[in-house]
Amino acid sequence: MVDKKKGAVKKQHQLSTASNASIHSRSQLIAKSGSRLQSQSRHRLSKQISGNEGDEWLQAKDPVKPPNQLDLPDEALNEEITRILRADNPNAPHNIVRFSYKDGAYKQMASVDQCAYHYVLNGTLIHKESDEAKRQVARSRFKSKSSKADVSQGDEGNTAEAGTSTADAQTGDNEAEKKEGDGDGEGDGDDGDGDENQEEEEEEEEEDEEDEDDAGDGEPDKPLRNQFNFSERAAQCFAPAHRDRDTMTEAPQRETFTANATQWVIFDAYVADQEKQQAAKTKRRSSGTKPEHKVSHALTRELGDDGGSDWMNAAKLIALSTAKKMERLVNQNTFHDVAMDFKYWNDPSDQFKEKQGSLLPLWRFTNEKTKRKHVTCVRWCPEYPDLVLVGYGSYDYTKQTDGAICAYSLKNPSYPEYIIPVNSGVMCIDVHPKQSSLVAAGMYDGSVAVYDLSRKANRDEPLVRSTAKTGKHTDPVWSVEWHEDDVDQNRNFSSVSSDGRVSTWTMVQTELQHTDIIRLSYDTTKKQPAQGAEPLFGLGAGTCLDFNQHRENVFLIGTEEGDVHQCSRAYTSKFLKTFKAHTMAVYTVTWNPFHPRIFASCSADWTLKIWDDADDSPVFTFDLGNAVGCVAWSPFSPTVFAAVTTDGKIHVFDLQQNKYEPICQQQVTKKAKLTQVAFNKKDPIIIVGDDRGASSTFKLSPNLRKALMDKKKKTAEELLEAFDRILESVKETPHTQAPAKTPAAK
Amino acid sequence: MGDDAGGSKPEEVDIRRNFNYALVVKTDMNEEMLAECTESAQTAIEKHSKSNEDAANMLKGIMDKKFGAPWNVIIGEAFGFEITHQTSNMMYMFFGGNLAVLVWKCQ
Repeated sequence: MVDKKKGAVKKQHQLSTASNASIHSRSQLIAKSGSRLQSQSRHRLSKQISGNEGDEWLQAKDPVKPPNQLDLPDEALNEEITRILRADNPNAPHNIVRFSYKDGAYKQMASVDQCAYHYVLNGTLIHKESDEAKRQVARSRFKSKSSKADVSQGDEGNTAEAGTSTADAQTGDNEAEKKEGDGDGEGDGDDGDGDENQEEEEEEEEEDEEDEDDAGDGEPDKPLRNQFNFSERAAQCFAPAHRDRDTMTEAPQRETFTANATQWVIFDAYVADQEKQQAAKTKRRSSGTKPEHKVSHALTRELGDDGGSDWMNAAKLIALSTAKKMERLVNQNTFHDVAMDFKYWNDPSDQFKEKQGSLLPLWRFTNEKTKRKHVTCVRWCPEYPDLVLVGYGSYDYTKQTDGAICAYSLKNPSYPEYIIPVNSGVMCIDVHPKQSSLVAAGMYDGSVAVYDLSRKANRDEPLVRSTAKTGKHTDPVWSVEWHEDDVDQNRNFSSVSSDGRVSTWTMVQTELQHTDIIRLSYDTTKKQPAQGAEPLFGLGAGTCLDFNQHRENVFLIGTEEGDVHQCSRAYTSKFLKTFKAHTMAVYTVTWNPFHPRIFASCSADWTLKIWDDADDSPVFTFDLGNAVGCVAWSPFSPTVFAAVTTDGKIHVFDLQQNKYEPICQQQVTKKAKLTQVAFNKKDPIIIVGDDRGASSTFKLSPNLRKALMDKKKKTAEELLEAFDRILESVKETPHTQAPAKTPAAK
Repeated sequence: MGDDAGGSKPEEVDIRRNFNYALVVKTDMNEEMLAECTESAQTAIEKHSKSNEDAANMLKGIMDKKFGAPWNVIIGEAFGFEITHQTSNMMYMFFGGNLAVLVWKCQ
């Protein structure tokens, strides 16, 4: 058939066009494959070819057809049948029902085997313990025995073998059939049967031959194989090409050594070694005492070193103290006139001015490091009258800086004696009345700390500082004040913060323990919230604090709302009394140092008020025309006090001389706002701090310190009596409040 | 000589009894290797006291295992030599008063 076709193709080739040739080559290709479908198409093609014009003369081609081939019309042949490959088996039953012993009922199987085998190839090896293997082993043994025993018996053996082998062959046939059955879908259905039979016969023959070969070899150790579909394959691969690669390395260094080893040489060497050892021994004995010398040397050197370092330290100290003295000498020269003023100058005009005084500016303390900071606190040292401690921080909520504590001496106005930098703004300081090196400080971050100025090393580090763990305030600490040592001789001080807590801090060795004295409650009665709504904050904010020196435990708290609470440490749950003092935040409250019941308060509402704690209303009210930063009582007279305002004025009052107006009102700065004021305990000078980091000292003119100037010194009792008289006179005539200083107001 | 000395001068025999230690004559090994080498030589010689060849073989085996091949060992009572060795891999010592041990490495 193929030959015929080829002939036709050849002829066609000679005559047809190029396009025809392509068709023919296609038909040739098809002819090579032997499937039925393609043979059909081949038939069609040949028809087409013969249908072409001018092909009539060609030999008529009758394609060979299988006898049972269906005669299909062209339409049917041309029809396209779409088949889709799917992952699931369409022929698999999906309604299998099986009896479930577990449930005692028939159940539909959910999962159906979707596997369809199209091609199976069995391995060539069989398991050693399988029946097949055992049979083979038995057979091979039998063969070897029989071949050894007798050649004549071979016939029987062979027949037996044939029996088994045929049985094997039958199983093999089954497999073969299976294979071919799978192949049937493609192959010719008609030829199938005949081929099968033929193949079966051939296979049988082959296997017989194989069996005989095995028997002939008679090798007992030959691997057992499934004999029916065993094939051996071999392949030749390219051998990888070899390549040589060399590198030259440096040869390891070598040396030559020559010697002669003889008994004599060996003997001499040993003798020499023995002698050497002897010599070493005697040497060691003679030098036995040396180590002790070394120790003693080391000792002396250590001592010497220690002495040296001490000497160095001493030298340093001497040098430092000398430098300090020199600095003071230079300053004495520079500020000689100021010192003279401080000591001797009294304003002569005071003699002619009735009830008027003036302030003479003396030293001004500034420092590069604290230039931009606000002076938040000034305190004179109780032990050294020339020493003043100044706290630096910031009142501005938005411009918080780190703070510092500086100690200035009047003897050296150019540079502070100590500078203690603090990482948070210092809001208040207090010097311990007995041990003046102890300085308590309250910070903007709510912590309180105690510094010891007498420490030589680590002076910048606080002795103790409260942390969040040890109960520091959550808002800025506005005031701290030392107390007498408690029963256990522990230092303790109180602090007030705008978080509403008033706490007492006790220094126990290196720890700081706190007890809350009182919690400021928000006064709901004063500011009536609409329709009884709850106030936003549960606690009021304390801004200042002062303990009464005459009455133990009694203290005053000024609040942000303008109230002044009188409290006692003995009764911490309630206020003793509440004064509706101001309409804005109270900046300072301070007890009169002479009178146990009188105190002064100043506020941002421009007023300064003097109170008797027995009365609800103030004894005196002074409107100073600007927010009053601070008020301080003089230490020499119960009637003298000074206040500073934000417009840069100092107001000095003497109630004995003038009950309605300050006897001195002096502008001391033009731009800066004054924040703090403090009287020196010994000398008639005051110090004021401003918000530019400067603190200035002023001398009080004679009229401002009448109590000191009087030749016949009055005792404290006399002064107090005089003060009481004034107070009585004021109280007897109610509503004698000082007229508001209208000219001062803007 | 030993026999003569032993017979005529008993003092010398006493001296020789003291020569029971390893005396390193020349070496350029580091301390660690030297200590290892002398110790191995001692054990090898003491183990094969009758056959110097066996002792040398053993010492060579030990040295090869510990410091890498190839080591050469000569143990004998009298011999002359001129060798070329890798630097810091040579030791020449006397042992027991009558043996010379030469150990070196060269590749």
